[in-house]
Amino acid sequence: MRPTWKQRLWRMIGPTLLIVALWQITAWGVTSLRGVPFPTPLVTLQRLMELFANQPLAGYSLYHHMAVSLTRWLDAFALATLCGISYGLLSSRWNGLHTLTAPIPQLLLLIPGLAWIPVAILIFGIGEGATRFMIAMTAFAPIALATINGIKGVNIHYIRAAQMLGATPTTLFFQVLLPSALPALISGLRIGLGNSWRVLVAAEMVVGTGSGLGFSIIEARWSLDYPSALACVVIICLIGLILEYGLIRPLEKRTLERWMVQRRSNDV
Amino acid sequence: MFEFDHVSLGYPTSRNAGTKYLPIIDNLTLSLTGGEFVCVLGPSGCGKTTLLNLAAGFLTPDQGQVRFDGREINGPSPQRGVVFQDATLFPWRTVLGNVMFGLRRQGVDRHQARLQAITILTQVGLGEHIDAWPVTLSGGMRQRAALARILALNPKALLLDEPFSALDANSREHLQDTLLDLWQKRPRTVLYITHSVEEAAYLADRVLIFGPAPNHLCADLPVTLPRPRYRSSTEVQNLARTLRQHLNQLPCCLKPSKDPS
Repeated sequence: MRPTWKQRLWRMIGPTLLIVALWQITAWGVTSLRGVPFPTPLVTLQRLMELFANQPLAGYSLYHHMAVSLTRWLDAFALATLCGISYGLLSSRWNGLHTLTAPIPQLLLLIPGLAWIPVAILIFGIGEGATRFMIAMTAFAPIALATINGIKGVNIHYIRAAQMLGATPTTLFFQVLLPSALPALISGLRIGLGNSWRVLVAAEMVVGTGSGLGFSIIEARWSLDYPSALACVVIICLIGLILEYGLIRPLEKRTLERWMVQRRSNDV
Repeated sequence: MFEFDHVSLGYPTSRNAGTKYLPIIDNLTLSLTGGEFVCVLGPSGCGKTTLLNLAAGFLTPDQGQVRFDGREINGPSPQRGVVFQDATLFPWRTVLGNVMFGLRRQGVDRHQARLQAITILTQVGLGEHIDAWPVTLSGGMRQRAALARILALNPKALLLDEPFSALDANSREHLQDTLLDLWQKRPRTVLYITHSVEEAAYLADRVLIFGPAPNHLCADLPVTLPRPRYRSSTEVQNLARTLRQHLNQLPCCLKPSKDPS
């Protein structure tokens, strides 16, 4: 049954209220026990409004920081998606390549994003290149693995049906294997997206790019402007949510609605 | 048309000591004549589907040869259209897209393929649903589309693996009639795997009772009943009874084995 708008609204508001309440309690507790001013939700919201009204933060407007972070992320994520899918396809196509390289994405998956900092700085020096490198590295592995697993998990009957209908290996690959791997691929994109968005912020904090949301958090911390730091965290969450609900969910919904047949028969 | 020449297919088992070869099809020799509607009946696990997969070219025999039109089968081909138990339409294509897939692979241009697909879909009764996504169709409609998908390629042989067994009785009977109708308009060899004696009695020119290895062909019964047949007629009912008697002499089902199909 589809939830009514009331249920939907409650599903959105309920958890938000809970988070705000926990935040408020933490702020009160920290302020009274440790005597340091922990920004309350209200203070943070006020600061957020000021920032939205173009008050500068670490030398730039909030919009600039958002734009810079998103651009970095988009560049690197697009590159990682392209490489991840291409690698996944090539490696499913050629066994030799698979045998040779199969452990690599597995290993990459084990490396925490921040562990790339020294490597990134050594290769690219401090700055844009290093940040992008870190984002791309963390997004690549889940996307590549999802592509490989998606293709490996294709229902053999689809392959047989396509061959029986006269598909050449190339058509089989692009018109059968790839589309039937799509649901798996979307889950890979989702994980890659989450990973890379998180590492973007962390990378900006450490690699020192001079702008961006992560950089702003660190700068706000140095200047004891904690409300701004928390305001940036809120923005990061909001952008993450928008990417999930605006990009991944609709894509997933459209695919799964049609692919349900396959899902069901694969479960058996 | 189809010739199985001393065909064996199995898989090695290495339980405990030594490697043992466990045959699914063991030294089977069988030939099917062109235009014949052959039903294969038998308990589950005795290799009926494997037989069909060999005819389709999905599996290659370990020993012996499977020939079609005098030539050895070495892979699936549009000459031998297969309808699977589960329709296996591509869910990312519409019904029309699914039927066009095979036509396009034969080099038919897009416009022509579209027209041919619509014609054949109308013949199987899906003219109203050409733009539907497979997921929105009922089981019976999906099997109609699966049938249209291969009939569009005008295959010399139809291989059907319990195609209507998952459908409700009403849809099943309708689909049997559609299939018979299309087959009578243009006779071709049909290899039809089923576990229903009534279905075999109603459809077949020849019924093969298939048993476990190594003696696969328990019975090879020609059916001489005239067509059109009526499901409730005494002749069809009597034939079904005879078939059931044959089938009852076999174990009801064999122990599940890891089927390489």
